[in-house]
Amino acid sequence: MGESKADVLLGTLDLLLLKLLELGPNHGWGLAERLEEVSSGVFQVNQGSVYPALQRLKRKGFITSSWGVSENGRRARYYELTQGGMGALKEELARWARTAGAVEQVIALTPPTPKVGS
Amino acid sequence: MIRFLRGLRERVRVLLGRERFEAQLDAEIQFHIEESTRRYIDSGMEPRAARLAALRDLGGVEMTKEQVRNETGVRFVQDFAQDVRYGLRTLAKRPGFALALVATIGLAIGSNAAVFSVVHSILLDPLPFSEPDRIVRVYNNYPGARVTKAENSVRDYHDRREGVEAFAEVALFTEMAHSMGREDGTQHVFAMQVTPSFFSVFGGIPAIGTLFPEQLTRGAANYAVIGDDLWRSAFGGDPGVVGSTIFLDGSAFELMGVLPPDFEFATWDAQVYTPLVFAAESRFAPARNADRFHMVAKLRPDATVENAQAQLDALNATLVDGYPAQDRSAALSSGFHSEVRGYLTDLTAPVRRPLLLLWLGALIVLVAAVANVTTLFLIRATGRRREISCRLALGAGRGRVFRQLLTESLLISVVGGAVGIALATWSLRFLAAFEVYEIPRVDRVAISPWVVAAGVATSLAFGMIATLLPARGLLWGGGSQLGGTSRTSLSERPSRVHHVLVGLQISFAFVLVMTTGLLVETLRNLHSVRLGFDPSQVAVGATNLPRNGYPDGVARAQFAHALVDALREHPDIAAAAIASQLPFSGVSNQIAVIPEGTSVNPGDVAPRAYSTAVTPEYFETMAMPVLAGQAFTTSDRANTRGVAIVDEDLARALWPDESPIGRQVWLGARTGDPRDVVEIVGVVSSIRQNSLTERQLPGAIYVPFSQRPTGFFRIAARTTGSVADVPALAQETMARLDPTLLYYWVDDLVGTVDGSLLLRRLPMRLLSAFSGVALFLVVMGVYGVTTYVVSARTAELGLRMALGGTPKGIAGRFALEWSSVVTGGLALGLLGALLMLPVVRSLLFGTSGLDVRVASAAIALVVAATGLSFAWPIRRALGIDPARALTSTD
Repeated sequence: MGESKADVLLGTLDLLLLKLLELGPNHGWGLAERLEEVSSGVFQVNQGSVYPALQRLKRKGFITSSWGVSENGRRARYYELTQGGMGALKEELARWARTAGAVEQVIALTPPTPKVGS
Repeated sequence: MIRFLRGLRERVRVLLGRERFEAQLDAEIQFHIEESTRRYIDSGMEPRAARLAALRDLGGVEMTKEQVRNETGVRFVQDFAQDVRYGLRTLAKRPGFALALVATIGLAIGSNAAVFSVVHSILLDPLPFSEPDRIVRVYNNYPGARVTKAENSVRDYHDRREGVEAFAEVALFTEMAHSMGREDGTQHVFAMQVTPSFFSVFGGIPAIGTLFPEQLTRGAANYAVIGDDLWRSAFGGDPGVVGSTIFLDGSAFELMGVLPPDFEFATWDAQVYTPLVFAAESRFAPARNADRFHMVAKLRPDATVENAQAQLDALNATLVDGYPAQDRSAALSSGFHSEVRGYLTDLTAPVRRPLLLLWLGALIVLVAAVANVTTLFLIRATGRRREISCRLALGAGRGRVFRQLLTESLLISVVGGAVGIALATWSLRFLAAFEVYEIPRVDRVAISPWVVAAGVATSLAFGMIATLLPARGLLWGGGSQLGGTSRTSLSERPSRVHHVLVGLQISFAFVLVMTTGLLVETLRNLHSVRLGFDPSQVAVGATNLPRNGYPDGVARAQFAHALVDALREHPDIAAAAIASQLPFSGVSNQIAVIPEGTSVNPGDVAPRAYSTAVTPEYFETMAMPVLAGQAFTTSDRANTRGVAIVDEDLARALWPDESPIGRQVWLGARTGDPRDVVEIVGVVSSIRQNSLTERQLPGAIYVPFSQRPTGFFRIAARTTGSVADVPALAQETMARLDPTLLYYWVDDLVGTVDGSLLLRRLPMRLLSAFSGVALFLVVMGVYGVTTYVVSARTAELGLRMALGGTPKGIAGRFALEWSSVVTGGLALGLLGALLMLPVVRSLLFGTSGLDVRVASAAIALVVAATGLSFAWPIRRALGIDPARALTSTD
């Protein structure tokens, strides 16, 4: 069912999609492909989970969609970051940085020397 | 905010353009798969394998689409629409079931909405005056003389205005009827004479002109204020009426002001108000207990009814102490005390019990209906067990199926609620048409938005309750029911829940039937009460003679006799009479009767009797037999010897073992003036004066109209023709004698007597309807459960029959199951009826409420209804062919 993969990524998939859209408008397939390219070997993205995420971002008003023509001349739905999406991306990045930093600090801790006779 | 709006726009777009949304989603996913496939082909894969790989990468087309749909944020709305469509289809398959439920809920909510509207409009809604809670009514009581709720004297008015701190203002008023004349003719008007303080008590502010000034003096009292109704009907709403002259009974009054439309007083709008002004010396009038005025007062903002009562008690005690010795002991021995009652409480006191009873009745119907609807849903749920199990097995979420079930019951309950509100609105329109004097404020009964809201809430609650119990068993009832149907049917039993619910319905129905039975018995008893007169074929009316044209008693008596003679000329009129009051028309005149020769000791309370002045043919008109002596004759006149006739009761009370004929009595008071002594010339049968249920005074005394004529009087005529023809005849006859007079308060005596039963008959009729509904619910419940049990046990029945069971034996087994339910229900019902007793007791007459006859009849009715609705499906089932029964799987 792939639910477990989607679950792992649930928090970050939105962030990743927003970030990819910051680079320019793209369609669902393109985003899925880029996501795989960029993160290959790290996440195993279920391509299908891109679409619900896009719909969610659209509902939140972070992105808009319009129909356009793809690189090979086919009709495709393009997604584009809105002003609100830009702001959301900044917030998400900042939050990510904080989380990552915190995680870094936690894993940098060294275990205390065990006391004798405990 | 903008982001929210944009999101909202997205939701609306999805919701409204559903097909477009689906098409675009489809196109998008197709594009994805084709691009992905192309990439795999480009990397050297075979096309079929490439497409499969692309689909695998995506994770399933339908799954993806479904996940996208879930992210639209409007999913629940779409599901709801789907549920409604599905629900309607399911219900349409079983129209009888849906109809029964809508009827049940409609009747329950309708009866409650109607009754609650009445309760609200009459008992709870504040009166249309400013600060209505501060208005009180004041009465004098003399329990020792069997006089309660008596009115107040002028001295009381002066004393209490000054002596009761808690009263901010005190006012007196008295009702009267006038004929009002203008240039365009004469009409009859209700009028009230009120002290100037009256409008301060009720917070009246004139719409036009002014109200009576406090300093109005007795000489300049010919002013009038009129109500909005009269202003519009008689004066065409002309704002220039102030200062114009109207004639009341021929006397000129100057119009001072017009009241606003929302000034509604008591049960009817007085149309004309004239000032009640007392001369300064009235303050010291010797007749301190000449109680003839209604008293109202307004409490100070910080005072309560209890404060006022305590202060008034203290004032009375002080005043009575200062009375002359004889008056003081009379006041003490009669138990004189005054009573302060909240105005609304006082106004609605007579209807409170009946309304409370009806309200209880409606609530019982409501609870019975909930039980019934739950039973029916439970039965249906069992029938749908396979469908639901199948849907659960196919992966439908429990929550989703629950929502589906809830939608179905809500559909039904909302339709039922709408039917109920419509029913209530319709029935209230019917009630408002009654406009009866006995029910205060009945003209303003209407469905309020609150009642509608309560109705909607109740119907939603119906839907919830009707879903919860069945859904619990269906969704969380453990174990799949798939495929198990034919095996389990042999052991299928109606659950205890069914029996408990039906038992409850039986008990509710019994409570209502029993209570209705008691009221029916009461009315039967009341109808067999001996009136003492024969009201049939007697038409009644009233008129009053203006002081201008009829300045003295002689003129009034002359007119009265002329009117009776003129009426008698008509061939249809068998007898006619004029009387100062008629039975059941608000008899209130009473008089102390002191036999000559008896010594009234200081402090003794003189016997009081109803006192009526009548023309000679009165006893014949009323068909009251003269038992001894003789009736009055035309030779009894103002200047002849004073005579009187007593009724049996008074004769027995005053002269227990002797003939009253020839006795001399003082009327009112022993004045010492020989002209005030009257001689008893006859004895007539006793009659019921005001009420079929109680007698306030020991008896009645009649005097000749010619000797004690009144300006206002009633007219009674016994006809051999149609009673309905008499009013026109009477009006015409009267107009021939004096065209300015009006014949009003037209009724027939049967109707008048009947009106006194209204507060018992109306609840009886409505409770009968409620009982009918409750019985109908029982029939539906028992029938439904039996039908279900029989169909669920068809295989078992077939087996029993095949093995040699007789239909009789099998029916017996079923009957045994039911008999315990019925017995339990009846036992509970008897208990409920006992609990109802305190509410209903005050309405009963001739039955204690613990009436074995009524109880047995009620039991018989409930058992019969249960038995019939049980026997029908059983009979049908036992006609089944055993072979077919055994192979049936449903």
